Order: sequence, then C-alpha cells, then structure tokens
Amino acid sequence: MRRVARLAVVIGASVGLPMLALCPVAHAGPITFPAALPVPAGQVLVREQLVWTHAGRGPRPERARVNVLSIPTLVGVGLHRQVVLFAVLPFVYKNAAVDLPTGGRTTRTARGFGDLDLFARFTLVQRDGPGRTLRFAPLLGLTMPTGSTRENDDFGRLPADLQVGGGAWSPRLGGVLTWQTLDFELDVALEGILRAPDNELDRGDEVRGSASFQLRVFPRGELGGGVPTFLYLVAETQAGWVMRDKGSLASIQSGGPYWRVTPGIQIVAMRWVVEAAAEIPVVQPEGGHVDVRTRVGVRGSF
Amino acid sequence: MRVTALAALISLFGATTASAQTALQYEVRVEGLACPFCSYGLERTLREISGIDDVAVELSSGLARFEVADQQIVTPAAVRQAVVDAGFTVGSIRLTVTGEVGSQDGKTWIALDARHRLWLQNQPSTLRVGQPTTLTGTVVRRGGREVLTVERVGPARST
Repeated sequence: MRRVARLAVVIGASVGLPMLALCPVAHAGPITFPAALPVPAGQVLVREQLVWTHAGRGPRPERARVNVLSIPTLVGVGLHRQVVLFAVLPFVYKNAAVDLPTGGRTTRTARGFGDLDLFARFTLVQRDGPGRTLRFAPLLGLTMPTGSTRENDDFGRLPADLQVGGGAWSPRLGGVLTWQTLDFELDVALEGILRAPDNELDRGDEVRGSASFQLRVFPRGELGGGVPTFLYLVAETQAGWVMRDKGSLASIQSGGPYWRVTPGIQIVAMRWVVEAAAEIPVVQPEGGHVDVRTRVGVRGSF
Repeated sequence: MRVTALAALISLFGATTASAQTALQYEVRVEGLACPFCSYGLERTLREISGIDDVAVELSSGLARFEVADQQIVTPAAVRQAVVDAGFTVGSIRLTVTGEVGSQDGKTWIALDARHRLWLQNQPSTLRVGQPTTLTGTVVRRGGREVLTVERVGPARST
C-alpha cells in the first residue's frame, strides 16, 4: 500500500505543480498567463476553461497513468482603471491507474473543488498610441489551501499529490509586459512562487518566465468599420525552475528545470473570447512526466 | 399693459426655448485601443454617463461616436474622464454642438446650458453672436477651460 501511494505521488507531482502554476486570465491576450490589458472599474470578466492533463507511463514502465480534468472558474473585477482583482476556483477530477505490487492494477481517484487562488494586477506603466498600447503591470497573488487534503479510498488516505487541494499557502509575485497593436500582441511575464510547507509535504518554490505572441490572421489587411471579430494564431512558451520537494511525502525525484511550448488559437469578439491550446512539454522536471495538457475555454465581459 | 405682459411672456418663452435647444454629437479618438475585447470596456464606460445611450466604436480608427440625448448635457471633461477611466488615452475630441453664441470680455463662447460654456479659439466671419447656431470643431483643455477650435459654422439644428 505504501508503494502504491509513492507511485501516485511520483505521477501526481508531474501534474500537481503545473496545475497550481497556471492561472490565465479572462482577457484577450495570452491563453496561459495574464496580460496587462485594461479592465475598467466595475467591469466583470468571467472565464471558464476545461483543462485536461494526461501523463502516460513515459520512459518508465513503473509509472502510473494519470488523467486530470480541471475546470477552473475565474472571475475578475475592475476595482480601478489600474487595479483588477481576480479569483480562480477549480473543480478537479484526478484519476491515476496504478500497478499493484502484488500484480494487477487499481485506480485511485479524487474529485472536488481545489484551492482558491486570488491575485491582483496593478498597471504601473501605460503608453498609448493610435491602435497600440504598451503596458507593464506587477502581479501579486495568493493560493489558499481551501481544497481537501484528507480524501481516502480503499487503500487509505490518498497521497498528497492526488488530493484536490495543495494544502499550503502559496504567495507569488511577478510582472507582465504587454505590447499590443491591431495586428498582433506580445506578452512577457516573470513570476516567483513561494510554497509554504504543511505537515507532510513542502513543495518546491518556483520561478518561471512566460512569453506569448498572438498574430491576427482574420480579418486580413484593413479592418473596415465597427468592431470586427478577430481570429488569432497563438504561440506561447513557458520555462522555469522548480525546487525539490521536501517532507515525508516528498518524491525522491523532484524539482529542476522545465520548458513547454503551447500553440493555440483564439477568436476574440467584443464581449467574448473562445480559445484552445495544447501545452507540449519539451523539458520536464525530475519525477515529472506530462504527455500533453490541452485547454479550451470561453471568456465573457459584463 | 396687456401687450407688455404678452411680450414679456413671449420673451420668456423664447429665452427658455433658446437655452433648451442644445444638441451634442461627439467623435472621440481613443489611443491604446487595439483589440475587440477591449472595446467593450470603452463603450460600457461611456454609456454609463447620463445622456449617452448608444456608442459606436470603430476599432480601425480608434473612434468612438455618440450623440447626447435631448435636454442632457455631457461636457468634454466628462468624456475625457470616462475614456481615462476605461483605461485608455484621449487622442482628440471633436464635437458638433448647437447652442447660443455669446461673448464676454472680448472672448466668444457657445453655451451648452446655463452653467457650461465652450470658449471659442477662433471666430469665423459667419458666426453671429447672440444667436443659436451649430458649431463643429475640436475641443482641447487649455488653462482650465474647454476651448473649441471652430471648423464649421451651420444653422441651429432643431432638437
């Protein structure tokens, strides 16, 4: 039973940490991280996404196959023309197919609401011109351990990384630079995440950089009158370093550099956005193995 | 006495009518506007101003056009603040206003209502002081005042 738990932890770590790290925002712009675009006071943004993460056995046959379906709901409220407050709460379903030491296979699952993530964005720099804008906004956030970390199944308590909650307070600090024109947008972000330890698991702190380029491919050329709907091709990338986990439930192998690339597509209208992207890992941290993560989402403005 | 009273009544009615016939149309050039999703925030913030019901945004040129409802006043300062509150920058404000033209201390103005005036940067030869008229031009804020550079003079529009 202990070996079953440890196997699940190894695989869970490969999907748990990235799930905590991703908090894209309900605004036109990047799909996997926030932009520095305006949200007027009193305006409300809502984003719903479906995020599916698949981790197969990979190069190690003893690994479990893990599927994680997360449905994060994001609400953003403009408090001031320079300040926006966001809240993200995911509903998470985790399913791990684990080989038993005695032979055979079992499935361990967990489902429920995950950790609540709150973060604020403050526009510090704004340089506007006809049909273009350059902005810089610091970000300050806190992930709160509101998700359950006490779920059990027939084999006993689920390992920490199969729980829907992370069990730890995680503040983060970063900034995003956005350069937007009528033809394209470029966003670059840098973020540091501190993960406070709980009783059994001290997840590694993390620093990461993200970049996104969105190219308008429709309408082509001149825009014409009114506010047309845009079709963007999106190319994003994210790279970072996560520190090694510590604690009694920490995996032997964890931490290290990672790098992923994310092609996507985005349809942007005046009051809604529809988007889809596939995150493809190029470099993975120790103990982590994710085949692919796909996300589809819709955003609305009220 | 009856003729005098009648004349006074007509004069009062005429004065009331002249100050009530003020029509406003705005054309605001907005900077920083570069995507459809951002346009909604601008439109929504402008529509929150009392007197503005519909706003037409043209993304390619960054223009926001709207008319002010009858008997309502929306000052250029209020429009400028709304654009800033929406998270953008005002490039220019062009408006068409119908109102009574007056002068004071050698400076000419057009009345938006009893409290609000637009001072005129220039005085075309076709402008007649003391009469309702329609002016079109660009407004800038100068020395704490809203100043209109007149581009076109036309007859007063009925509202």
